[in-house]
Amino acid sequence: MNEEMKLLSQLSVGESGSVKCVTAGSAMHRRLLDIGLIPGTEVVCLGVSPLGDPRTYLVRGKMIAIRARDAVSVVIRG
Amino acid sequence: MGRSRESEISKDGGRVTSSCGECGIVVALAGNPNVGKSTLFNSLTGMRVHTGNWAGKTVEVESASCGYGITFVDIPGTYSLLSRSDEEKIARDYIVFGGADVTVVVCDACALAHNLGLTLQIIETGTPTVVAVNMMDEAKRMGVHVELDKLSEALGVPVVGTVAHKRATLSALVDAVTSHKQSNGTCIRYPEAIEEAISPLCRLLMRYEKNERRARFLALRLIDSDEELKKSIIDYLDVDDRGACEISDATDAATGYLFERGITAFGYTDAIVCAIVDTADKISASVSEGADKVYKRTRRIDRIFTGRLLAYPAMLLLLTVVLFITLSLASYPSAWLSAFFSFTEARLGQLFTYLSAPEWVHGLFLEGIWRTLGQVVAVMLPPMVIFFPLFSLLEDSGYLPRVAYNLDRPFCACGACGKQALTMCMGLGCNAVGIVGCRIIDSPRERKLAVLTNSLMPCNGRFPMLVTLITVFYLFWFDGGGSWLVALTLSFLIVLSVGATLLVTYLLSRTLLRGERSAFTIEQPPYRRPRFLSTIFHSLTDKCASVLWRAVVVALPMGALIWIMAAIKPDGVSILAHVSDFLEPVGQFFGMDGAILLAFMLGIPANEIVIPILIVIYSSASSIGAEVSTSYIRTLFLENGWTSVTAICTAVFALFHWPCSTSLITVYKETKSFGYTVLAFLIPTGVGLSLCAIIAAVSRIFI
Repeated sequence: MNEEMKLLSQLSVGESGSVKCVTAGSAMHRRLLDIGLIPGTEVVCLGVSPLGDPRTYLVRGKMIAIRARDAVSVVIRG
Repeated sequence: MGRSRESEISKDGGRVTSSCGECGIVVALAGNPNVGKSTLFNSLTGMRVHTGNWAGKTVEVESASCGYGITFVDIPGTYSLLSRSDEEKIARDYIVFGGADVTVVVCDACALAHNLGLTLQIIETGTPTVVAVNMMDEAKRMGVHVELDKLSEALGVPVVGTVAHKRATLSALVDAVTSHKQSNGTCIRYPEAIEEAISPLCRLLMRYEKNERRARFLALRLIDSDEELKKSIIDYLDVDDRGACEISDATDAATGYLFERGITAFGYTDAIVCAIVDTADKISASVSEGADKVYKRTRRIDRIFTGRLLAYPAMLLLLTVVLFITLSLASYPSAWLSAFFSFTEARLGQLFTYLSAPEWVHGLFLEGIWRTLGQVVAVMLPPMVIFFPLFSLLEDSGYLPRVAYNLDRPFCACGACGKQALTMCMGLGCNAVGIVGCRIIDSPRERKLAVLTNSLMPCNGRFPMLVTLITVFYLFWFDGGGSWLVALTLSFLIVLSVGATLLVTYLLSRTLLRGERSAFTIEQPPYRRPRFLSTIFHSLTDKCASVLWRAVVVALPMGALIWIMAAIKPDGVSILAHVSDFLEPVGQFFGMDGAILLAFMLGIPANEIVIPILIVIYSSASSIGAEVSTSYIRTLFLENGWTSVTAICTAVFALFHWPCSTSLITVYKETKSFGYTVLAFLIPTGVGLSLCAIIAAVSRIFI
């Protein structure tokens, strides 16, 4: 299997991928699922804040900013 | 047409009754944050709830009748009924237990995929539902197309396209609401194992709950391990103890069944959310197109506002421009208002003379109360009626979440979050408004951080004072400075306030308010052209009334008190002078003097009167005088021993001193804690006094 696995926080600007799973602890976990980061969803990294954190992602047509510390818990298939 | 009232929603729900006593139908207005729900609510009921183009604004449950015999209840925006934060719990409890006749789910036409999740959950609760696809005009402008009929078919409920300011769409919505009484709608299919697990529990619940959909929904929720919700459900169903036991056993059986099939409690919620989001996605893909292009234009603009090089300069530039416009335009209406008050004072004076009123009546009412009122209104009102519309335009255009986004990192490093930056912006207009606005912060700990530090940002009421002090300072040094220089210095002082806020937030989050970081995401809505006239109009009518009222309520007694303290002269020296002499050593220590301290103390109801009171003390006047020129002020201050150090310390103290009384009351109302209110008083005071002491000490050493 030649799947490239990345973390959401590792997506560079303009790169996209599809969500494989979310590994966060409970509070953040629900929030990430609620905004649509369920397995199979396409995500695009749109940009990064001037100070490097958070990054803006396109999730199901909405632009949402997520901190790196939380984005590390979303596993992306490249 | 509309009447407004707040409704307290208690933990276990509670039916909202119509304000005029009729038993009209009750309609709950639900939806994700930022879908224009409040604007729709306002349009339907004629009420004015302050709205803005960023998520999380509506935080109270407001209800009002609209004259159709319907009472609308505006529920806080929520992403899901499987909730976390307090606001979302309020929304969930009302939707499930509140007993509304119909629930209207408001969706954003441009973001259907996201909004349908909540819609499906609400339909699942079994309450009669109508879907309002809002902001259809925005959608059209952005090239997004939604097929309402197809959506209605897919969801199994009526769907109406709405535009908040188009009457016809509102009537269509009201028609749909009044004619819709059934509660069928599409069911979400969950994985096989879950469907099988809930089946027996569902049958058991149907003994108590006739509505099959609602029973299914309750069964699904009972398996979630939320104890609070379980208890609410048991209460709602009104079962006896034996019944409660039965339900408890059945729930355990269902949970066990799932566990055997490899679905843990955690995995259960995951599976539920995935099924909901997936269904929402499929439906939205089949009825709408173009939504995924909306972001392109916004991202182009964001290259400036969130780009690495341009974001911060753009923010600072916008800030300076807004301040410049506010300060330079405000002087005209200020002058007119002053003239009006002087004119009226003269006429009233003639009336009093005609009635042979005694001297003190003349003094107390005209020189004391009326003049103070005039000062407050003439100085407070003009900057506010310029600042708030400008701010609302920025809000409406969608820029403000970018501020939170750009500033999240430093705030996160201080233990808070980027949304605090938004509350600080609101605090620039009025600290009390900023403190209420802290409700947009989900985490209670971070909310307290924002509330306690809000008064470190100078509000509009302090701008005139700061401008006077800055102008006087430059007069000392350079014989004047252009209004650009003053605006720039004011911006510098604001940046100083931001720095102080970050520092204090950091210290607080290491000491008194230690705790976990919150689950933080922030939506970046698409930029839109602000609706100029509507925003400005609403901003004026929202703010003017409350500001005027506050001015009146505060100025009247304070004016009387000041006159009494100034006019009554035991031993030929006024009370004001006595007290200010008493405070002199303390004042000197902090680089100011007794009179300045006294002026700040008496100015606690409204910062606008601090300088006028100071002038009264210095000139030994028996009352607040009319508007004076800056050169007069400069001369007066110099005569009373001012140096540029005094100007600096007073300016710093003006930035960092106790919050005004309205803000303190607001802190108490928001935190419901006397301790936090005392903290809110002490923190800015402490910062101010420390800085002033340092500056004074340094100046004594070197000068």
